[in-house]
Amino acid sequence: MTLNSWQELLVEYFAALRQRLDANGNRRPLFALEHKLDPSKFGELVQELKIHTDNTGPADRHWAVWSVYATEIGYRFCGDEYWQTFAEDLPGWAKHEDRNFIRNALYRFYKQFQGPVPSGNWAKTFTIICWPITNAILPKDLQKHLASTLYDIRDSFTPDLLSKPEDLGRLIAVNADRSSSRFRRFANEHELVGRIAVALLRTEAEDANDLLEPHTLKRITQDLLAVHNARLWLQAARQRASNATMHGVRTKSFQRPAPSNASEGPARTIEECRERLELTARKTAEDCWSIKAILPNLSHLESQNSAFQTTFATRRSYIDVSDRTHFAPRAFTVNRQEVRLKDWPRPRKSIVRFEPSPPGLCEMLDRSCAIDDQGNYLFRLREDNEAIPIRSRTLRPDSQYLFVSTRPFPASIVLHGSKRVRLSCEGLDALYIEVPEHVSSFYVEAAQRLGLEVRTGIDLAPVGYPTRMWTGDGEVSWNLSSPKILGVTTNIEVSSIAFDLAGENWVKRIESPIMGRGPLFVDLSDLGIGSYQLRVTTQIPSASTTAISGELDIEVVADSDQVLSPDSAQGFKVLTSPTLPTLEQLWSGSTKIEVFGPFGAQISVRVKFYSDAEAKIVDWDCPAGKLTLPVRDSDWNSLFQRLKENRQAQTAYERAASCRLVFRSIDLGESTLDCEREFVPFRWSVRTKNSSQMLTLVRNDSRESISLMRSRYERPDCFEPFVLDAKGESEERGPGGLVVARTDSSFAALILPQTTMSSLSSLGAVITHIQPRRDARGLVALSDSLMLWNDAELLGDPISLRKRNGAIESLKSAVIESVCGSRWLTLETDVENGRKSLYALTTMVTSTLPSRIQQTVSDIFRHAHQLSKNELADLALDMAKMARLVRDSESEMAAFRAAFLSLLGILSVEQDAHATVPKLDEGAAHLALKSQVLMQFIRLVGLITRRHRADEQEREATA
Amino acid sequence: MKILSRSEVVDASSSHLGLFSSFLESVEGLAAFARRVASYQTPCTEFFLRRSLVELVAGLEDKEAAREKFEPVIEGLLDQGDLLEVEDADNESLLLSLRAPSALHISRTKILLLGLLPEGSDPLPSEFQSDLTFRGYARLLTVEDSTEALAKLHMAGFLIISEEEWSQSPAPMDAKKHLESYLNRLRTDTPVGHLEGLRILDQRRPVSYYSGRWESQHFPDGNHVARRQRKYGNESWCFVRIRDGIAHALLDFPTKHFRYRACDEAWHLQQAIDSVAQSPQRYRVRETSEQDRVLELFSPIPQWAHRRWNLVGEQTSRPGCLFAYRFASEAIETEISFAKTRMWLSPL
Repeated sequence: MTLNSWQELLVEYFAALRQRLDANGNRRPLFALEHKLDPSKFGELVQELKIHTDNTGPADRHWAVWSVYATEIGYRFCGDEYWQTFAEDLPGWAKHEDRNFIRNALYRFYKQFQGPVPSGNWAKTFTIICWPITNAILPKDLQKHLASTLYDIRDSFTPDLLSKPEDLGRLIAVNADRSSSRFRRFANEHELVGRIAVALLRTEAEDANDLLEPHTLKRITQDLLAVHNARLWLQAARQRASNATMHGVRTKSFQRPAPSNASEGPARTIEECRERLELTARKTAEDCWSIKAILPNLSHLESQNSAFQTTFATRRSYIDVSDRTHFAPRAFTVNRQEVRLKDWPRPRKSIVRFEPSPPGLCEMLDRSCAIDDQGNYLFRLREDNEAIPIRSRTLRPDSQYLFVSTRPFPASIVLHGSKRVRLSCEGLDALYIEVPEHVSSFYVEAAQRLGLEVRTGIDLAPVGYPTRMWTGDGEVSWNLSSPKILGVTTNIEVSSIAFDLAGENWVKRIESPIMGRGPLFVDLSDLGIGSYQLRVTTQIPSASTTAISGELDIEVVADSDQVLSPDSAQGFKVLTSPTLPTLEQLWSGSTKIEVFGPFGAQISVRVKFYSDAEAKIVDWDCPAGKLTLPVRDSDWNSLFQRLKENRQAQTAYERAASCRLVFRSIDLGESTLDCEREFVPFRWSVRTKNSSQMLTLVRNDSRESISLMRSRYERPDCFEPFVLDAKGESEERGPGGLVVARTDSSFAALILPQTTMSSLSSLGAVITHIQPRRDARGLVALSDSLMLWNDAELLGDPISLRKRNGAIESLKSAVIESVCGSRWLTLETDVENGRKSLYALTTMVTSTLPSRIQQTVSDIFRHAHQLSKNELADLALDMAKMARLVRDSESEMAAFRAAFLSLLGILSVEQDAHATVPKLDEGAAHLALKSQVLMQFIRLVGLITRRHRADEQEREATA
Repeated sequence: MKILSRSEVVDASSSHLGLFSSFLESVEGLAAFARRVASYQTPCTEFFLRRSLVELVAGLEDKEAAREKFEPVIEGLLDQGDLLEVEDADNESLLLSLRAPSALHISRTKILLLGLLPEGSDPLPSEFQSDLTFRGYARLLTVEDSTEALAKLHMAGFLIISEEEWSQSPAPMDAKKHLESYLNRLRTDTPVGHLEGLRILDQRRPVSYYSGRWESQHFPDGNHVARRQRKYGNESWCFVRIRDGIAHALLDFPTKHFRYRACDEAWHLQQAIDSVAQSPQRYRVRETSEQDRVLELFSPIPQWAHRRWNLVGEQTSRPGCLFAYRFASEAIETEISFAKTRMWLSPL
């Protein structure tokens, strides 16, 4: 078939498909991936394109063919260079390359068949390849990310959610932070992602075919299932989706027939227990006990609110009433954390706090991370000195308990075998109770005066198979597939036992004679998922009217659907911030890595560099060392710094497209962290030679013109243009410095190490005095230079880092001097060097303000470290209004807020903070130059926050 | 809901554990049951797991008999590698934990499976379920091509461990040098204060009766492997110098960078002490059949030795010894040589 025939066939097919969808009222976009060509037919099409491109460039008349070809490349795209893959099957393409043609072809596809239109920042940055990749629906390498995210959010599936693709898409986007940056971008297309997800989860649903063409959906599903883990993730997610559609939200407990002598409210479900704070006690020495709070895993809150998720992922959290006060980001969404209480918390007030906290989070935390206001708790002591809470407050003969109360116990305790004990938690009185084997009625009465019951008669316990949970007193939880057998014994002679099992709106009863005191075994294995109550009644032979009864709350939950993953260890957890760093973020040291697991356990770390984004072709592989758990960020930094100083590692980094960190323990398992190079429209690539560096500009999207500049360490504010040779390369030798490639919307900056050394002093940082600028344009240029030097990629050698820090220091001083004045800069230097206190700067700011706002500003400084940027912006706005810098107009206030935030970012820049410097526009520059005192205020806020953070880190290190 | 007899309860549990006979009647059954209970209970102390095992068979087995049956099982699973001991940083005590599901190549057709998942989950892909057999505390997969099977197990999330990583044992060393390396670390020679609940392994007592070697009242002068009471949790292991009944120097186990457990370091040192004192620990070889030989041992051995022998043999119990290993007759000489050179054992 000729290309013309292929074109005809495809246009006919897509037109018919569009017509059919329209006839059914389905206005969904039509994707070029829905072309229905099988691999052999597609191969024939490629063959024709090959012949064509060997002779000439792409022709407009074949736009549909090119749309399908480009989309297929987009479907295979895995973060490497798109155009390289594009040209692999079409060697002639290089001769007649026309990237804009592909955009135009797919634009025409959109116009003719209502294809998808790329949107968002991604589309603005990658103006060409956004078209084929959007038409590829779900590129292959993003499929496992989708499956993994669906697995992560499976607990949130409800029939309602599964019927609203956009809501599901939004939930996926909120939870996509553990995926690659490309998947996160993809996930922002909420409706599209939601549609695909629904189609993958509910293949049997009638409306699945409305979402995508069945053959396309089948193809994506098959590709996804071919990846082992993705298959298991999707299976588990589908199972939950199917449960959700069958049973609704299964965590709701139902109303049972009320037991006649019920002393408690309805039992909580297991999920509710998991989502709430639990208390346990521990005997730490003779007559001395501690109380432990086991906090819930807050990951279930993440799916409800993206602000919560951001807070959990990025903010530290605090517990004031425990011996451990500071917690790293994500600490409460990975595991259930345990803390020892040093003070008894306020009832119904969360012991965990995040600062700042988004709206609604405090209320949520108050519900799940607070104690109730019972005032007293009973714990049963196990042989391992751990004591578990007994909600029924029932004592069993021959057992030991700890009973704690916020109210003091009477001075004379009449309960035989009890004594007062000490607690390491302030605000509680504690009683240790040893219940005798045989209790008298006097004992029972005395216990009742303390609010406790004493159990006699029946003993019920699971037999033959372990349970998920068994409190030993009235609560049991089994997995669905487990044998569920109870053994019943009595401590008195009985003639028969009756079992009444209550489910939702039904009661079953069986009765059985019993020999002596038992045991009698009752099998409940046919119970399905849900909550039940079992009532056991014994008949005493000598007194036909007397019966003893006991009750048991039963929960049956689905079997664990944990998917064992080759890249996530079972025995330890690697926490990273950002969650999935790029290769550049890892190398620059801006990635925080912490590893938690059994105390003192050792893990080895291996680093592998790959020359492809899919991590298939190993370029360099090296053991990086061993770490002892828990691994703090500082431990990681020192290990990784050693690796970065290795010359071979630096060369491998320069060449690599991706990198894998392997954390391994033969006891605890293996975790891997894959970091890809960030996919940007263009980037610098460096190859180190003996005495020079070969610089190449890799262009991933269009071929629009780019300006190239370089700057030296000694004059970081001066830039000179340069050009690449015919091969698009530049051989750099000499003192190194900053090289920048720039378009209107993007830039790529790189710090080049020096390749020659003239003297020892040439290795040190150079601090240059740069003249302050008092004009807006000059200030913008200074802050622009600061941004480029700060955001530039570093290759890792410590000398370049030192010199780059020197350049940033010089530029920062120039910016500060420009906007805060020379006197301020001198004073600030004195403060930094310890010659003066921070108070001197505070006084300098407040003394120039009108007296009516001096106190307000002092208060702001006192609390500056606790305030969010937005709160600070509000306060600064109030201040500016009082100082008549801003009028009460909406537009002026909005401009002020924007200017404040960018100036706060610029004036708070620190060499090693790894924060991106915001761009300063001329409006903000005008404002900055108009009010020196406001700039001093902003700068001081930055200094206070930094000092507070340093103090906090020191406190934490000491702890 | 129905009433079951005792045997029906045992059958239901056994069948759920993948066994064809009562789980209470074989080492394999007890091990399978203990693995499943541990998967629900850990992390917990050894004491707690032991008590849970006994409580869960209440009414199926007499309490004392159950205690006796389960006595060696947890140690067996630790030696085998399904369970681990991890440090509880809060309480300076040891907790039992689950090893991550792992697979170890034994031969072209055999793979040893190790480790567990919580809540009774089974990580073994369904295609391998029928290839699984139990042998003592070990779980073995018999496959056509172990290389291919290991690749599939890796994809299923199993950690693949090499034999070298697994049973890495200390380099062969002369017993005297081994002992000297520890004596050099007992640097101080002043009273170290009262050691709560101290008991020593008395090297003067017969090496063939391990539990009879412990002494907690009268401490002879010399350097001894010992245990002492901690505030809570298990006793700790140490090496102590006694003079006039008082401890004059102390070295706690495990020492820094020692890869295995404290008890493994202590037992290996005791083997050296006994060897240097001319009363080496003993072994005995019994010919049980033409193909099999049983190596009987009378004192505990370090975990790295158990790991090696679990790969090439099978742990078994025999009357008159502490524990025993069954080996193929052609393997016995190599293993005796291993026992002699690495642990300084001598024939009885």
